[in-house]
Amino acid sequence: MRCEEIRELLVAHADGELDDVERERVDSHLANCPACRRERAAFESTGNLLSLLGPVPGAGRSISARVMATVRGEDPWCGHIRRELTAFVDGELTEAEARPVREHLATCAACAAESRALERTGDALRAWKLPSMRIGLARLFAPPRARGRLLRFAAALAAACLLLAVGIAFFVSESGTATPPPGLLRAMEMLDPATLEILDQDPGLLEIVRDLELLESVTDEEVALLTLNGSGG
Amino acid sequence: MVPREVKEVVRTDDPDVALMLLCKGGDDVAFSQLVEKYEDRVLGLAYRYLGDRGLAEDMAQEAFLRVYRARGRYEPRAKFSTWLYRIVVNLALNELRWQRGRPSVALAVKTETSSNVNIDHTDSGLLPPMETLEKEELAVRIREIVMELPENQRIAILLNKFEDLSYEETAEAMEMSVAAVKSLLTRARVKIKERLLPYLGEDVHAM
Ligand SMILES: [Zn+2]
Ligand SMILES: [Zn+2]
Repeated sequence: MRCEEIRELLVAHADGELDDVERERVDSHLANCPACRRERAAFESTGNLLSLLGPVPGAGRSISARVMATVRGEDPWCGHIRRELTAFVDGELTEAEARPVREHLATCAACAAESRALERTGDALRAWKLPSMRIGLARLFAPPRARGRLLRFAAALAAACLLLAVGIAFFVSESGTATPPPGLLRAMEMLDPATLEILDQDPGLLEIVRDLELLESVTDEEVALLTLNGSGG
Repeated sequence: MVPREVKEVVRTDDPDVALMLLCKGGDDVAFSQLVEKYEDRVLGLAYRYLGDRGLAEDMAQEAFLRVYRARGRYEPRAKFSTWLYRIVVNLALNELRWQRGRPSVALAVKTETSSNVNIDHTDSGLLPPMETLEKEELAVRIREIVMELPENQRIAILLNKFEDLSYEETAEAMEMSVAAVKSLLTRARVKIKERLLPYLGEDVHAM
């Protein structure tokens, strides 16, 4: 065997990873070749020096404590899953994105409960809002007599969406000191208690509203118009 | 190191497999025993791979959480440790999601080494001989050399040299052929040798 071929085997030779046939060939070459012997020794020495990388500074039991705390519920991964959960419930994730969520839900009771709650609120919103909103918009340019009532209804809904969009849904729960704008009061009149509770408890509602395409189905101009009209009437 | 035989059957001889099967059945205590048994090894591997203690802790934690999340699908086809290393390797080579928002690894390492020791890294061809260097400085130099390896060579070296995995086990953990691992390790060791040769004592050169 030529030196070049031997060199290819020297690392494995130093690591004791050659089979008997290869090892004997390398050994007999090394016996007669000082250059390859030197090379072999250099691999071994430099390999041994790697041990100087040493242990982890300040090692301790920190990992198991953190892992077990996470497993028992305070899971940062849960945080990640929760952020994806609305999109997951709405079927808006790709299969690659949805798989880890599905797997997580199979093993995490807390996130699974959250997922079911999101499904329920999504259904409630769908049942409550979509038909009304669409009818309202379709009838906007209907004959004047019918328009008054429909406008108010649509305006109230649009106001609710708008207010949610700017993050003042907390008025619903903390209106004790602040005075909600008239548009919101009217919007709230339209809501049933169960929905109010949802608004109260679910900061992710805006995303649900968005996912329901409530906002997308209304242009900014239309919303502005509706809100103006609503606050006037 | 003698290559160990890897069977493609249920590993009843591996006590960790038994623990993992208990974990699969819902026993969190068994899981915690596995974490405690392997945390130092996984943290060490992550630390030597990333060069940063904080990042290493995150990576080690994520690796164990993945073990936990995958427990329902666990099938004992290999030694438990091999399966665990496979998860760590996958995290190290393929998954960057867990460290989103973190400073880049290269940056973290630079900061750490430059704050510890002052070595002139600009001219690595003319390094001072070993006896004039503190051991600690040499350790820093070695860490840099390891960090300069391509990621797959780096993880292969760490598995083989620090975790005492045979070529075959390293291949299994990295999901590649033994021949590919042999080639990776040879390339890595050639590079390490070239960079470390100036530190070696005269005995090697005289041989
Ligand atoms: Zn030779
Ligand atoms: Zn969870």
